Amino acid sequence: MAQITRLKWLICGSVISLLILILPGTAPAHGVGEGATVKVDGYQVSLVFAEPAKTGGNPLHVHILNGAGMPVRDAQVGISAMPIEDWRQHQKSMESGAPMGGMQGMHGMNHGSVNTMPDMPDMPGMGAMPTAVTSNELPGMGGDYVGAVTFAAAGHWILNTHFSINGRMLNAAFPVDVAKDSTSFAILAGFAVLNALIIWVASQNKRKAVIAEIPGEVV
Amino acid sequence: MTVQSSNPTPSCFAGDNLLKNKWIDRFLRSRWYPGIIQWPTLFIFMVIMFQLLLGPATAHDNLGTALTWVLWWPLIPIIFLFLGRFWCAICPFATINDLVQKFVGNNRPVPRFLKKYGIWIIDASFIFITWSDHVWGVVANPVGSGILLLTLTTGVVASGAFFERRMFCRHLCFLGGLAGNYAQAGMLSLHATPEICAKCTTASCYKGTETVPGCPIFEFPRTMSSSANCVLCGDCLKNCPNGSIQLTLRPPTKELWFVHKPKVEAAFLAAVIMGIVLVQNLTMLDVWGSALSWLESVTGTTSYYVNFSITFLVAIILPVSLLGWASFVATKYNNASFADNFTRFGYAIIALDLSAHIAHNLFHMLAEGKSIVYTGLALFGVPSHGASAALVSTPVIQMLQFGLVGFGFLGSLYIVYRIADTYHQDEVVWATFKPYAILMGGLGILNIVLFTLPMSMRM
Repeated sequence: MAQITRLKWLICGSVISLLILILPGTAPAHGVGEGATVKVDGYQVSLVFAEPAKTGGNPLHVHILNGAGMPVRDAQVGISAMPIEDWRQHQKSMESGAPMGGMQGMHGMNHGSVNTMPDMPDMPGMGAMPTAVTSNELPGMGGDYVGAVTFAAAGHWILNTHFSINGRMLNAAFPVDVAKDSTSFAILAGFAVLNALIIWVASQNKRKAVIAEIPGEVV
Repeated sequence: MTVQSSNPTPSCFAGDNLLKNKWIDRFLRSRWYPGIIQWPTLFIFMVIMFQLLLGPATAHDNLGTALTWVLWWPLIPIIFLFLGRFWCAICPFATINDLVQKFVGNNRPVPRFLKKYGIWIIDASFIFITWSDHVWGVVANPVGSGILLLTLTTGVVASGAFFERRMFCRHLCFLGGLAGNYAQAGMLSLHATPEICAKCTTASCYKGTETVPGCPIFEFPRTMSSSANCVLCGDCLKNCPNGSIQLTLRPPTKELWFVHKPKVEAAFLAAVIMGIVLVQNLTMLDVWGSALSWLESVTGTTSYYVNFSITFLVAIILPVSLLGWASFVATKYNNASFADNFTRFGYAIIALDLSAHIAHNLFHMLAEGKSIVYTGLALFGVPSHGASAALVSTPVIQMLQFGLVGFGFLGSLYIVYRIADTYHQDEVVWATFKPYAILMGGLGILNIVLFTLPMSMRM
C-alpha cells in the first residue's frame, strides 16, 4: 500500500516537473516566415524564409532586382542578425559616432562557418546572437541567393542584408519574429511518454529484490 | 555455502588505509554519503537537460553545452585518474536508476548474454557514439546533446525498472569500458582484506543488509582483483560487519603493472581509445579541411558520412594494428602467443590513452572555460560582449599538453617493462620491451605533433 502511494507521488512529481520544464518555453510561438521586400537605392531586395523563422538553423533566400526589375547577378551577399533591442542601440551608437570594437565579439562567427558578410562591429548590449550565414547565388537562377541563418533565441530580430554591387556596399534591414522551435518539446514529450510507459509496465510487474548470484569462486 | 578466500592483498592495492583517518571513515560510512553529492549532481543534470533542449539553440550560448562538453567531459578522465570510478557513484543516471528501481523495480536477473558480451556492447556503443558525434554534430548541437542524454536516461529507466541493481552501469553504459580502463590507472583503490574475509560468513558487502543495499555494480570485494568496476559508493564499507574494507592511495598506473586476469576486450578498447583521441584531435585541426578535400578527391564523393567514416575507421585500426604488429614481433622473442601478448601489453596503452585524453580535453577546458560563466550569466541577462573564454594562453595549454603526453608515454613504457618483467626473464624482458617501446613512442609522437597544431573550439 505504501509502495502504491509512493508510486503515485513519483508519477505526480514527474508530471509536475515536466510541466515546470515545458510551460515557460511554450509561450512565444509566432514566427513570420513569408518574407518581406525592401527598396534600397533603387534595388528591390526580398528576403524569404523556407519556413517560418524559428530558433536554430533557418534556410532562406535573398532575391535582388535592379531598378529595371532585372535580377542582379554576382552580388556579394551576406547576412547578419541581432536582437531588435541591440540593433536600436547600435543605431543610436552609429548616430552618436561612438567607437566600435572589432569582429571578435560576434558570437557564432568563429571556426568552421563560412561567412560572406563584412566585418561587423561589436555592439554594446549585444547578448546572445549567434548567427552563421552562408549565402551563395543559385546556379542558373540570376539574382537568387540562398543561405542559412541560425537564431539562438526566440524573439524579435533584425536581419541585416549586405550586398555589394559594382563595388558599392548596400544594406537592407528586415525585422523578423523568431518563434521557439517546437521540435525540442516534441522530443521531450516523446521521451517522457516512453519513460512513463516503461515505468507503468514495470509497476504492473513489481516484485521483491532477489539476491544476485555471487561472483567469484563459490564452492 | 562457503566461499573461498582470494589470495592475500594484491600488490596493486597495497598502501596506507585512508579509512584510518576518522574523518574520511565517518564521511564514507555516513548515511549522507554519497547522496549529499548525488542529489546536487542530479539537480545540475536537470538544469543541463533543460538548457540543452529548451535553452539557446546554438552551442556557443548554451549553458548545458558548456557544462557538459567544456566542464564535465574534460573532468571525467581527471576524476578517473585521481578518484577511480567515483564519478559513477554520483552519476545522475545511476541516481535515476536507483530511484526508478526503488518504486517499480522488477529486479530481474541480468541476462546471461550481457554478462558475457556486455563489454563488447560497451566498446561498440562508445565507438558508435563518438562516430555519431562527428557525423550528426552531437556536441555542436544542444538538442543533439539533449537527445543523447535522454536516450541514456531511457536506458537507465528501463534498466532500473526491469533489472536488478545498476545493470545499465555495469553492462551497458558507453563510458563503462573507458571508465574501467582508466580506473585501473587511477590513484584511489577500494578493496577488502582477504585475511578478514576468509572468516566471513555473511557476504553482506555483496548481498546488502536491511539498511544498505549490496554492491550496485555486482562486485564482490572479497574476490575483487581490480578497480575497474568499483565505483567507491561506500555500500560495502557500510555493510561489512568485520571492518575488512580498505581505501588506499597508490601511484598512478600501479594496477596495470600486473593485471590479474587481462581481458582482450579491455586491451582492444585501450587501442581503440587511442585511435579515437587521434581522430578527435585531427578533426578539430585547421588541416582537417585540407585532409577532407584530399579524401573527397580520392573517394570521389563529398559525402561527409563516407569520408569521415573512412577516417574514423583508419584512426581506430591504426593503433590496433600497431599493437598487433608489436605483439607479433614480441612473439619472436618471448614464446608467448600473439593473443597473450596483445592482451597483456594492450593494457600498457592505457597510460598514454589517459594522458592524451586529458591533454585533448584540457584545451577545451582551459581555452573555453569562461564560457561556463558567460553562458550562466546570460541566463540572468548579463551579456559577455564577446569576451575571451580562455582561462590561460594557448602556449601554456600546449606546454601542459606536452607534459601530460610525456608523462603518459613514460607511464606506458614503465607498464610495458613491468608486464614483461612479470612474465619473462633476463634478456627476453628487453627483447619483448623493444617493439612495444617503439609502439608507445610512435603514438606519443603522433599526439605531440597533433597538439602543436592550432585546434578549433567546441563552443
